[in-house]
Amino acid sequence: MERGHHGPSRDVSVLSVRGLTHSIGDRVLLQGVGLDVAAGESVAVTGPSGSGKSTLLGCVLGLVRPDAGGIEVAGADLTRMRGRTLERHRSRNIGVVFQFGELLPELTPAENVALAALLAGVGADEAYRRAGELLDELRVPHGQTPTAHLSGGERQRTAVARALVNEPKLLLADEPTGALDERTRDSVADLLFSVPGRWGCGLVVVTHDLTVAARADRRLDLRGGRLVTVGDEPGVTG
Amino acid sequence: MRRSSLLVQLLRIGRAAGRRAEGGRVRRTALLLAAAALAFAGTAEVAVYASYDGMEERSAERALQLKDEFPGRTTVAHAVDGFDTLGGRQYSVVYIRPESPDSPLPPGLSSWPEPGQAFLSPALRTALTEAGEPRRYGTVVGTIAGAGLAGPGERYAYVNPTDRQYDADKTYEVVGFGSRSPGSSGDWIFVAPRQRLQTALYLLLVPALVLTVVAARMGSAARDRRTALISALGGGWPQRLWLNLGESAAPVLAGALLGTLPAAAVALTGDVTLPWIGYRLSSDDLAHWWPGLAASAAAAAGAVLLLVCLLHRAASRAKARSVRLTARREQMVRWGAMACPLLVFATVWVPGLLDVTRHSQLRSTLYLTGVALVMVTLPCAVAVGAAAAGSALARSVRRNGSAGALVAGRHTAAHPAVTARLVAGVCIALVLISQLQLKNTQYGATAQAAAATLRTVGTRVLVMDLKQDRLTREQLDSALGKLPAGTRTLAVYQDGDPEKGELPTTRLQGSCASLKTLSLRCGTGTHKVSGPVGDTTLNTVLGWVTVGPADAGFTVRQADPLPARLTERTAPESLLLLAPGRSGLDQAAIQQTVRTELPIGSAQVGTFGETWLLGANLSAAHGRWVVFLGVPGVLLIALAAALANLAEFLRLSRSVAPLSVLTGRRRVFWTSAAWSLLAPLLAAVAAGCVAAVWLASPQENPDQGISLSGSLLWGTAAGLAALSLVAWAWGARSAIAQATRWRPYGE
Repeated sequence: MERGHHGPSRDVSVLSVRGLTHSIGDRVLLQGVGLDVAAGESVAVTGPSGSGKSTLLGCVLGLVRPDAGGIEVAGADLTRMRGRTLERHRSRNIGVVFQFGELLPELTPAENVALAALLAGVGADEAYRRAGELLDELRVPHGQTPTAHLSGGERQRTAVARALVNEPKLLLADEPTGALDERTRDSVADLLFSVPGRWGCGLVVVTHDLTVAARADRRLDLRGGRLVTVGDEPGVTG
Repeated sequence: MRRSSLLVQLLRIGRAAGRRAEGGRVRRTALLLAAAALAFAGTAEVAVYASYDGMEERSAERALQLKDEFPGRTTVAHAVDGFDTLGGRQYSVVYIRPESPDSPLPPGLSSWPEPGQAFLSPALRTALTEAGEPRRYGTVVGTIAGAGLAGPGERYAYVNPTDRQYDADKTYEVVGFGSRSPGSSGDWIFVAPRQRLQTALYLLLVPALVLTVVAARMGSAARDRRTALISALGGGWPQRLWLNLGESAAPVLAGALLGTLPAAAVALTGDVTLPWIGYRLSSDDLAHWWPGLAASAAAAAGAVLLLVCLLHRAASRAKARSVRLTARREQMVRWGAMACPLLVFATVWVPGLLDVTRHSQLRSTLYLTGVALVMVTLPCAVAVGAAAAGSALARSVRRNGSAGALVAGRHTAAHPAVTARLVAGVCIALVLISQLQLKNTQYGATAQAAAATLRTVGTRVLVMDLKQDRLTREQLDSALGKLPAGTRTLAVYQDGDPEKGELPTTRLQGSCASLKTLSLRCGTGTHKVSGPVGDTTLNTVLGWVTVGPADAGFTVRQADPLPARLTERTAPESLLLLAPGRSGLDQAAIQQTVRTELPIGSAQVGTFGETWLLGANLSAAHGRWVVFLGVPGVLLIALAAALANLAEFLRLSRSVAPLSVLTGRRRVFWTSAAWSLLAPLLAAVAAGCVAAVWLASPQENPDQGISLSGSLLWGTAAGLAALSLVAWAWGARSAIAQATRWRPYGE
């Protein structure tokens, strides 16, 4: 399958959240949250600590079962899925970039990326081919050097490549630049926000960094359990 | 009130923290095992006390009260306490004839046996039946009850001799039973000294303590952070103590109970035979010591909890290790791996190049140093081998696509020191056990000669030692006449009176047929044989019976082997019983004839140096205790090492958790645990066996009774392989449990 540089198809919804409600004890974290993300679109979710950003991410990943509401990823409702079906759907349609990369330091970058594909049931040849191509495109050196020897930025690029290797419809990023210095942060953020345009997937970035959030097509703020749109203009910075 | 509720809260917090911590379940299980091992070692110590006390008490209660000690009291019986052997083991037999049927009975007897009848202990009765000699002491009319036996497994007999066996002049007059000391009969004189067994118990106790330390320190990084937090919040040592207790108390108490369970079960149910060594443990003795059993459970739990608290505090001062040190450690592992095969060859060959007569001590020192160095470097060799295999494994993933193999292969290749620590316990266990066993089966020099003679001569020549003052010619002729057909007799005399300045010489005397059996020349009169003797059997026999200078030779006389009248002056030293052909004599039948036909204790038949062998066998039996306690000890050490490194595997697994959760693949943990834990551990078992066998080879000497016990080695290897499987399953399941709890936030 040809990868990369798909034109955005903004009429195709990859994530549709309706009336999402979730509380822990007496504390209501999400109260009727709605969110739509189209293919090729990027959305940043900001908010203070404890506002429920991570819970929203957990719900979208299907790791947290909401009290009410529906979550459709790539056209299928996650809240109706259980066990293996949910895992298979998540594995095929969602990629995640974590704050600390969560890469295995002993593996080469190519192996780290291929590992995600292997775990998703892709054949070895195909997994390594995709990993090589992605790393080339994201300009990560990928010889036999262990990932531990890469710079912070290179590691985060590898993490992006790993999140993309299973060709997800939806890419989630949880504070992807939280552990990086300013220069590296900009470079990784530029790369991340170029992904929807290049690969045609939807992107949701959860961050508290407003300069990063400003790069998204839309920025939403989570306040009092509800998502509030901050600006209508796409925030693209060079 | 507030104070007590704070304590309860702290205990609760500790318990909850222990459950949620990284590798918490592994630590709880490790603490449970450690407390169980300590409690088990404690109850074993109690069992030793209980058994020895019971043995001493009952042996004293049945000791014969002799007329010599109590001249004023009435004689109730006549007795001779002697020994007999069965299956290479000695035991006591009391030949006793009561003055009247109303004479007081020794403990454990319900009535007096009639002449020709016997009471046997259950163990002896079973053993004689199995040996096909149930009537060795005549008609068995009953078994000795537990109160009359040192222990439930004791071989013991009260025999009322037949008139033919009985000679009142040669017996002691008995006035009753019971003494303050255990006397000189029964198991009391055959068992190993109590202190020796207690020392051997350290083999169990020390590994149990090592396991406790390892268990207490598992997942210490997270707990040390918690300690720092509690301190920062103003909590002092009492608060930390309650937190630690809350975290550890439940598994530790459960473990202490579990460890006490075997001894408690024996105390409550019945006697039990210990596997491999065959010692029968008395249920009654243990039941009397139940406060001791309870105390050892409490002490074990207390000791583990104390260590948990103490080690926790000490750990807070620990410094992080630098990267440079890690790099140096990896390099040291590689050097160790290269040295290992060289050390094995050096240990096996170099000491053998030194002259044993001149450099015995140096040989031993070199050998033991070599063994110690091999134990240290063998884990390095396994780790470097595993690292090489790990790289190959990771490369193979491009063909087979196994995610677990990729993760484990790269990790093993990158961290040989981790693998070395993982397998160290297994490698050391196998080498140590084999060496322990070899050290404990060595015979003394005379027993070695006896064993060699037994192999050369077998039972083709038996020696009959005579008590000249207890026998008449008629009695001896009668007994010899009832020996199996064809049995030939040669008498051994000592000539020359040293008091008159004459050199002692040995004379062999018998019929021409008997002389020819040993390849000796017939002829009238006495003739001297000097110089080397060609016949192997004769040569071996001469080694045991001749006296005087080695080059003095011996004399041979063709004549009736026995004099007309047996006196101390005229009687031979011993008689040689010879088989007419190449096959051996029926030793059991001959011994039975002598037992039945001759007065008690007047003659004894056996192979050459048999008593030395019996002594050696007894020492070996005592040595088996060391191995019996040492095997579980080293298994505990291996378990401790494996557990210590399970935490490392969990750290590796934690980094795979996000991918595993997102893709829903849990099998990756089974595969990675198989390659990270199971494969190196099994490789270590194999390498340890090879090293143990090679290192044993210079020590092995069948003539000296030293040979590596295959059953012990393979048994230990099987135990360690089972341990590897447990570590694999444990690691994989813990990693899966950890991954299931993983969430992409809230770190």
